[in-house]
Amino acid sequence: MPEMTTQKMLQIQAKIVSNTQVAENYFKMCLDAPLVAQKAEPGQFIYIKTSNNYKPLLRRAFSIHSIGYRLLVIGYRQKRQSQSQKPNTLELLYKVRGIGTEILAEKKAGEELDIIGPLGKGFNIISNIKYQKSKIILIGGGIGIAPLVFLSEKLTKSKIKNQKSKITVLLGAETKEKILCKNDFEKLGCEVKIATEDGSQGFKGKVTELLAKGLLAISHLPASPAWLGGPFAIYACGPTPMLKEIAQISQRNKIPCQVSLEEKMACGIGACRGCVIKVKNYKDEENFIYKRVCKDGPVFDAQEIIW
Amino acid sequence: MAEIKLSLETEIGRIKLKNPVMVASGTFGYGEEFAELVDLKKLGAIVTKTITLKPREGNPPPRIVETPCGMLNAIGLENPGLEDFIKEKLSFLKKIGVPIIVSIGGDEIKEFVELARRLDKEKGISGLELNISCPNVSADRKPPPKASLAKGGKTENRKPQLIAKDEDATYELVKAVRQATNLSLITKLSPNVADIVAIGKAAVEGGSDALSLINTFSGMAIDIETRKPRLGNIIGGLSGPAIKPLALKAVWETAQQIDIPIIGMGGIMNWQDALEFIIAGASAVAIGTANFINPHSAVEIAQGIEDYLRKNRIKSIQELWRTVLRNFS
Repeated sequence: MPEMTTQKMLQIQAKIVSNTQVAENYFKMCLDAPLVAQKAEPGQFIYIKTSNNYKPLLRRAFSIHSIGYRLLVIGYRQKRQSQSQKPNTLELLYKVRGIGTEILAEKKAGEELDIIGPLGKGFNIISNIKYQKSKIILIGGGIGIAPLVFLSEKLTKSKIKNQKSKITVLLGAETKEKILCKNDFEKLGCEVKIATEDGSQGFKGKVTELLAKGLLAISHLPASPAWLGGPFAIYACGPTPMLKEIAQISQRNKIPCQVSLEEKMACGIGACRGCVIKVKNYKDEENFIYKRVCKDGPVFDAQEIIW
Repeated sequence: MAEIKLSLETEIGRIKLKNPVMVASGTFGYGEEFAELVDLKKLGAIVTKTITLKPREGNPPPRIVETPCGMLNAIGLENPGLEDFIKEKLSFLKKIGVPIIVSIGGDEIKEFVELARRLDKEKGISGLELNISCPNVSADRKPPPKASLAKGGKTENRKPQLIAKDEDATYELVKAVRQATNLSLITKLSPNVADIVAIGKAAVEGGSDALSLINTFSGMAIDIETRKPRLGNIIGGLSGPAIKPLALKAVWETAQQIDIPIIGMGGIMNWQDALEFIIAGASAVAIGTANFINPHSAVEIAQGIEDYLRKNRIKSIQELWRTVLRNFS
């Protein structure tokens, strides 16, 4: 029987703190949502009702880009929340690509949004001793970088913080104008490698090629296939074809790999079984099972998925 | 102004509901999925996601497409099967303290009978909803061969039609299940028929205690870039506010000719929608797609109905029930 006492998800009215354009078609929104922010884990998402008039009808899912600590006004005094205090804001990074995000982009600070979250199973942060010395590679394609900032915040604050120089972020986009969050990652001490399809910045080509060719300038690793034999972990988010390629590359090189997926959802909380994907059935190799992106994911082990 | 004593109670067969707002099958899982967000005790009743005798994996994805003011789904009755339902889902449901109606489905009459017989032995179940109308399981998935289309010929090897499309099959099924259980029986009808009232009458004759009107409308959507259907199952069931006028008409039409209670459903998004169904002749309503948008929909709708009754000094649901019919006569 499920636990009814520990509430993991909440439905709340969250006030918009800010909603600003950061690049062409890309926006960043900050929401005042302390209870959700405190429970949120990297890779989880929130489910936003963008409209009250059935256009669009369903909620929209947004991965949590970051959690923050913002100024609170208490009485007449402004009080700065110290880093040791609990987070109180959620940040989203989103791309305008349909009716839901078009409406969201129009929202102003001070307006409220009906949100449910945090939802889903996030990234499994490997914290055992074997991986403390491991090289961690985060790969983001397009808007897929959104959850990776939160993930790198968590990774750099976790047990492996002394190894933070060992987090390498590979960012892929069509052009250099669409490369986002480079500074955020660098501020956290991550090494950032860029791949653009038009070659306007960094490696010319797809981010998967950058990975496959071992073009990572990771200082302590020799650029031979042997470097892939060591303890390694890949976390990726982006378009499905990109994730599929990364899954293949990681399988060939025996690197543990987690990917965050996207699928059309209805309920977002695991009830309707609308957002399923095919995964391997380890009890019966001949067959597959369906898992829910909203509840069993959105983060999955890349090797578990039947691509 | 003196406070009037009002009642939201209603009855479906022998099932007594504290309020007339239930949650519709397939949109509320087995209750537990919503437990963290919703006070389940405030629901009129819970209708479970349909269970079948054996587990079903469901249809290939994509299973959901959003449409203007609606959505298509083609889940394909994915469920853990009867035994796992009893073992893993029922204990949670029966502790909630509201009537539990188990939706059952199958390909053949004997499957329904076996489900009913087995569930009859379990405590904590108030009724069974017979899902003879899911549009996503018995449809022919293969498009007809081009040759036969050209000749205007009919396709071979079609799977059997929905039971809810056939009066005789509906009668036989309900009658057989009636003999297998004393639980209240609710037959869920499909709107994808020429004459829904005739099917409803067949269910009444078979011994159904109540009717659920309506299941989803059969529909589809195509991606013009790839020319592929947007659903893995090609066709799916349309739900949401888009179908509300159609559902309301089906309830109204049926309520004029059939005397057993009707649970009205189809695109109910708010208390105003729910009241329309009650006025048209529904003894209770079920909330479906709205649960996906606002998990609190059913609870808020029950509250909205109560406020409306109080404001209009109407003492009960029964006082409102079918009033549109009376006004017409």
